[in-house]
Amino acid sequence: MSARPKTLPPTLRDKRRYIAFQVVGERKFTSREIKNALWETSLRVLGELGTAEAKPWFIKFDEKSQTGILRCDRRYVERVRFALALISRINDSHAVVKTLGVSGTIKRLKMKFLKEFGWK
Amino acid sequence: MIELDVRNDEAYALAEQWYDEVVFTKVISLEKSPDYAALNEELSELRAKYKHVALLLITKKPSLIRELKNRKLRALLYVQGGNLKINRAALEAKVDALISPELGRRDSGMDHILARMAARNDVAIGFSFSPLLRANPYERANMLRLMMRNWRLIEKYRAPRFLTSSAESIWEVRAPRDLMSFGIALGMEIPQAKASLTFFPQKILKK
Repeated sequence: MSARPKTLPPTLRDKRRYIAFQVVGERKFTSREIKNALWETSLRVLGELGTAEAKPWFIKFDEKSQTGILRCDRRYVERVRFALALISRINDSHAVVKTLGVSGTIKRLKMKFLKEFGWK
Repeated sequence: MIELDVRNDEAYALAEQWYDEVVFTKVISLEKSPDYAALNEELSELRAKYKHVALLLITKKPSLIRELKNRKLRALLYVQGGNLKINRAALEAKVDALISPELGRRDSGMDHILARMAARNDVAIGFSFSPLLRANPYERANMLRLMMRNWRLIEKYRAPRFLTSSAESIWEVRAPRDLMSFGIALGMEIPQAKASLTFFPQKILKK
């Protein structure tokens, strides 16, 4: 018997959206800093319950172009965006997070919004 | 997408990349009548530098609002809200916009009477984002609460409204789509949030 539960049928899975974002800051940020900032702002703005419902998840951050991808529940995209907009400092350096776009799959997200930043 | 209130040169440059039109706002804090010749000169200098210029008046005297309005300065005239008398005077004087009537208050600074007056006199109410960035969580929660209340009034009486970042530094500028999500957090529908970045600002610029 396998150790993990079976993959759910599509209708029962979480409905996700992927958000592409760009960080404009005083300096370049590392992937880890962005991840922490994301969780911090989500917990602060949405609260623990809100974060549980919005299910934000850090996927990837490209340190060279300062762009990244995160995942969240499709009903809470606007909430997560608002939380991102409320970031003003990351590790005591000024930063602005700009969302580039939302998509249902990572593949389309990269094609539509992240191509110009050198993503494959 | 139009950004109606940017108060810093660097911020203006950044906002210009993200928006179609940006209005540069000169903040003046007044206690008595200003020197109009000097003010006019400064405004014409700013007009040469930026495409659209607005004047944000911070004052405690209602009479000054009327005075500046009647002077026909060639710039948009905004009034910083926060004082109930000032809020009312701004709406009565038919200035172009009243920005964050709830700022620094413990109530929303607007009631149904003022909201109706805003709709009738065509004075836009601005929701600005940057005070949220400077506040601590307790203040921020209260500000959001008051803004939500104002939004309900404005929606009911169909007063003109707009969303703005009111950026005083480059780090307070936000992208149009992010400002829309701010509006949605206040209770707007997505088309309404879009209209408060496109339709209503356009109406103000055309005045």
